[in-house]
Amino acid sequence: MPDPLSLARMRALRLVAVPWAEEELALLHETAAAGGRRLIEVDGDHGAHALMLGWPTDVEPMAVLSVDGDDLPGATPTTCLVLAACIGCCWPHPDIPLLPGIPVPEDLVLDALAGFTRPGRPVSESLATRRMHWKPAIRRLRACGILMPRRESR
Amino acid sequence: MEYSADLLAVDKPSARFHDTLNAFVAPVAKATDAVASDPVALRVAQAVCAAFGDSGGSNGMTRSELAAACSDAVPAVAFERRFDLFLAMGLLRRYAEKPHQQRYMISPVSVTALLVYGRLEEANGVEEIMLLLDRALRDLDTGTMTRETLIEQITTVRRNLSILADHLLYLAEDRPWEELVAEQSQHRSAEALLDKANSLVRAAGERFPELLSSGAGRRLVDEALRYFNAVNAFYGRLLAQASASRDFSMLSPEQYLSAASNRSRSELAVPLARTVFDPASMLLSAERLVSAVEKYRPAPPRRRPPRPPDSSSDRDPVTAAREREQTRRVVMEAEMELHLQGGDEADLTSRIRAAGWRGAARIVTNALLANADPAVPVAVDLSDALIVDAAGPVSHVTPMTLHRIPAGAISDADATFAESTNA
Repeated sequence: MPDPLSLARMRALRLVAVPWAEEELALLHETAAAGGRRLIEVDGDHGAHALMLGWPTDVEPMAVLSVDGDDLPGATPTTCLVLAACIGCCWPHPDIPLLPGIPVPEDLVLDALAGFTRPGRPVSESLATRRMHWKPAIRRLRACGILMPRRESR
Repeated sequence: MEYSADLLAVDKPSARFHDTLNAFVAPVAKATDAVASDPVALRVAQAVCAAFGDSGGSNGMTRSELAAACSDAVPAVAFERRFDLFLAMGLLRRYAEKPHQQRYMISPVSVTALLVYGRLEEANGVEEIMLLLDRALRDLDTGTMTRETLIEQITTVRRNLSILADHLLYLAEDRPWEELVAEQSQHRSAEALLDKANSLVRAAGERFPELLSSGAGRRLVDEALRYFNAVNAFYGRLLAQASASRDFSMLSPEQYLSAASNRSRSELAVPLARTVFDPASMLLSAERLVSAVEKYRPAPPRRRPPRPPDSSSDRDPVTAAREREQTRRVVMEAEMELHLQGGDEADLTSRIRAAGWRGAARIVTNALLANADPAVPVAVDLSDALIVDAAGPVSHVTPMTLHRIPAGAISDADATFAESTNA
């Protein structure tokens, strides 16, 4: 029987550890399927395997959520550019999985964006101004769980 | 709205107010139906009061003037039905007690009663207790209150508070939630009432110290505190039920707006402290990312394309270069011939000294170039001497002599070298 609480926990935490017990894992799969989602196994921090919610391969999320690409809240061209720069910086090679990626300093991402003008802004906009406006997009992506700040060891 | 006596059956607030009016009139009622069950009755009286307030004068108003003034607020038939009753009971009275008198005045007592009904609808008697406390405080302050009157008022307030507290506790503990919702707006002044009761007891203690020892003041404060606690219990149950059912209609839109404007972020977060939210998320497709990058990618650096070959002429550039070199050599030979003036030797020193620095440099440079070019049959001799002429156009000059070299003296090797450099 599907367990809505575990599904809610996955939505809240984004990544959960792979359960040891097979029946527990099966229950998670069943719960995700009941919610129209599927489980994706990814490499978490320190190489540990983790589970996250994904969409079935034959499902188009935009269609399921009845949203148009232009109406997605927060998915502005600026955010897309910043995410593209982050992927370019954090994904060292296409032959290895995108997740979890490698940690890079924020400045490296901003440097990768140096040649890009901000959408809707003139080319003459200064580099300092552009950097100032790329940073909120980084914070947005971080708040949405797409980027993760590296935990400094104490 | 159509005039209908059945309105009370469907309009729950009106039905509740009718019950309130029944209880209010009960002390002086002669029969159980003393209060009209039709809510329009009160609206007619309010319309008549408004008509006198807006249009009446010291001469009163006629019945037709009143009917016209009330026509926007109540149906004409309702006005006609109530008019005679108002006249018989004294809400309206004739301007003069004569049979033919057709002008009417309104009784100030009835106007006051309408104000009381309005307060009953909103505060269910709590406001009356507040007024009683205010009046007692004022009279104490002005010194016009006797000890007996004060005790009487304190006792009255205490008893009323006791009744209200019992009523609230009864509602909070035993009655359906809907009854609490209906009464929720009528006990919002509990804290202010408690403050006033405290103030009255303090003021009474200063004016009549023996009252404190009699316990009357303490009993009043105790009862006010009990009422305060009953109000808290009442609203506690209301809020618990509203939270459990996520009923956002407990507060009015204006209250939500006021909270948003005046309360801190942490205070506003309290009601949702135990609510679970999905974390923020963002749906981004790979196509959208690629599209954004392609649209806003940096422009490639501009490079000047190589100059296209001169298609206007078919001349060979190598031949053209040779021709330019030959021309340069002819000009150089001609300049050397100009120096030699047909002779075999010429002293260039005086010409250099007279030509100024720029001209001297040109003469010396060209002569040395001619000397270095084997194809030009001249040579240059430079003296070791140095002529200094501080006042002349050229202050320092080394004497220079130009010689013509006979044609046979040019070696084959030099000629070959000259050919190769010319090429």
